[in-house]
Amino acid sequence: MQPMNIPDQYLPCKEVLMTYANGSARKVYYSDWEVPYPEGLLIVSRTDLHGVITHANNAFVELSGYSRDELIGASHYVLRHPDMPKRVFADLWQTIHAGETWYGYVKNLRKDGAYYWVYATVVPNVRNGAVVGYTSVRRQPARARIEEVVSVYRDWVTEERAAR
Amino acid sequence: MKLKIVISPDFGRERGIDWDLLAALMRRRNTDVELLAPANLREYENAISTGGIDVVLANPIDAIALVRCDGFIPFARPTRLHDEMLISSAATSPIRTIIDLRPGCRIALTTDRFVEVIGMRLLEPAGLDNSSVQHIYCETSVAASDLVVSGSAEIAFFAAESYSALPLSTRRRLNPLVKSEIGDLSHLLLCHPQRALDLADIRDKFVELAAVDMEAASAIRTLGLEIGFTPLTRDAAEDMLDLAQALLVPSATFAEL
Repeated sequence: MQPMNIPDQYLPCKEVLMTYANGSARKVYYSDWEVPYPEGLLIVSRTDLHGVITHANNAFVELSGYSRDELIGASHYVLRHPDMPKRVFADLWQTIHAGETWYGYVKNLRKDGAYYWVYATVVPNVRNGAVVGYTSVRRQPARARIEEVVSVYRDWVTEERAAR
Repeated sequence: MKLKIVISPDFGRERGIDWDLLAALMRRRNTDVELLAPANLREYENAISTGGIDVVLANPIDAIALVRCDGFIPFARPTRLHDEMLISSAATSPIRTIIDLRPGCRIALTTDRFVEVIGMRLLEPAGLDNSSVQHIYCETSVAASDLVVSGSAEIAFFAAESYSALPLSTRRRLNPLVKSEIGDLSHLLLCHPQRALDLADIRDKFVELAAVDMEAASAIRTLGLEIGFTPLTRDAAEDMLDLAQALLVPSATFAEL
């Protein structure tokens, strides 16, 4: 996916080949341009058991930079930013597979290579006693809390790359 | 058929909805309706807990416990009416954005739990939570706006429709800071579990309300319900409740996670 709409000072975008737990890989472009999270917006999406997006509200479409048609049917990992440690997502999947709700701070990658921070809540959708999918709600985090997270995530990513 | 219906006090209160008109429309469909429109949360909870009710129109936050703990069955929602809320300071206030707010902030609000929950989530970017703000509960949105205008509260929480229904002269003395943009939440009609066998009939009474005739459709619009009620599947209702549940929990610090 090619970058677009990035201010000149943040170009050229960096590129990296990202690999995912399901064995797939894709090249992503990313920049240091942070898109401010619009006040009042609550992002809502639902996925199936494999993380494939089945619902996206307007806020999700607006902030991700993807069209609704592009999001529905895509894997949620299209939002995954290279600066996010794999262990965060491993914890997410372990938590929701156990039927529990997961909370965390996530740096999301937009289609155009920019990023935005969210506080995410992921709830298992339990129907007739079985988990049939997941609802994810993302909201604007306090800047102070993002600052707490950035250095920790940076250290974790460094450790993960060193361990490869 | 006889139905005792309880309407959440946060629904249409500021618009002065004529619930007797809804009851009259239902009676034209051979439904003997007793309609309760409690003035506040305490009366609403009493009406539900004292029993004998058949249908509740509840906001999605209150509906979580009614459906998942008390066994109420969701079956319809007001058509095209989504629940949103708005936070406002006074027009003369130096507070122009949410992040201008500081600990100790006084919030004027009604006892509408949906508005309170969503409002508190929207204050999180300022690092505020229940422990760092002061809630001042009011009987009406007009009273809440008066507190902000007089400087007795820094901000007020409003249901979006309540804010729109404030007199223009009042709105001119307010400065909206933020309005929620969720789009996926609305009030739900819930059937008491003891009426489960009548669920299909009860759903039809509501969903076909506006289809009686042109006069009924017009009357429905004057209720602020646009075109009445839309049937809701159990799965769609559970999706809404999952979302509402996710919003109940305040954000945690990284150390708390």
